[in-house]
Amino acid sequence: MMGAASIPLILSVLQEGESYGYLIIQRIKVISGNQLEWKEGTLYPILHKLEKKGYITSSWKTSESGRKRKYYKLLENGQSVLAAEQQNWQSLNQIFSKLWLTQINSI
Amino acid sequence: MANSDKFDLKQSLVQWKISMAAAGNLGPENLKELESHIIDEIDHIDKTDLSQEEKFLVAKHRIGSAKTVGKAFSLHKGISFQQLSWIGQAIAYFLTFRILSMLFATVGYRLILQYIPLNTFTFITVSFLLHMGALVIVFFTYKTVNRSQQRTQNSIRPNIIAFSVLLASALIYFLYINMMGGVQGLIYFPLISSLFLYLIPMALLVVFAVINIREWRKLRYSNSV
Repeated sequence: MMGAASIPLILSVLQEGESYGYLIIQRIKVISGNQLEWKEGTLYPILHKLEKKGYITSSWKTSESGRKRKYYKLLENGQSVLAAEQQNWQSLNQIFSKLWLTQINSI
Repeated sequence: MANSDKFDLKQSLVQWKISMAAAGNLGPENLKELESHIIDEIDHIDKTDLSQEEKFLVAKHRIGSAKTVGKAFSLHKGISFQQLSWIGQAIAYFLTFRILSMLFATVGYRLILQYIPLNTFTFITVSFLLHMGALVIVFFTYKTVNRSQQRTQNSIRPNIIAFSVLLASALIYFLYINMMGGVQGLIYFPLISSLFLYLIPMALLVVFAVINIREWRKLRYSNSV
């Protein structure tokens, strides 16, 4: 279900502020009303890929409870990529809406 | 209902990390991050009627199997460190075999020809036995390395062992050739053999040593944060 949407989704969550893997997944679950299903472990290679590309950065931090977590933060490069992705997805959304509306009307 | 009396979360996490590591594409830092995720998952499962073992099973399922997660890591990483180390180990074992069999052949023929006249039959038999000897040594080194890997769950140590064996066999061979005739000993072998015997193994050793050191630094860094 995620596919090509995973990168803009992750970048959009990180635009809200820095976060760690578990929290990113929870945010996506909540916002999608639990409609998006994916194996949570597969999020990390995408995060690492985004970091390698210079879209995000990571650092280990210790929480108040003493737990260590790796936090990810959106970088300027990532902001620009996200802006481009938003445009693409909005264009696609318009195209699909028109196509499906025409099909529905012709039934 | 799962048996919570015997359930040890710490031990189960270790076992889970071992199974994830076996998928082949996850480094120590990846495992540390996934461990942090599964603990968060267990802590946030709000069904209080579930035992800790059941929560662990649910969290494990949500993260995905070792195969699924490992595949995702390999898709985004290309050739991983561990895959690279396997290729490196395979090359190291092959070169070790070649070097040892050359060493055995050089020493063996010199020794045996003093006592037995050389004919086709003795040449083939002696060659076969010498090469088998080299193969047995490489095979048992591989088995020892594998056992060490299972015991320590350390992906760095086996590489060090494999490359040490390669280095040791190359050095023994080099010393032997020099002892037997110095530069003449090297002339005895074509230039291309020297290239394969010394330059390529040495270059590979340097490359894999750098990879190992980088991975070791990452591990040290992730343990320190």
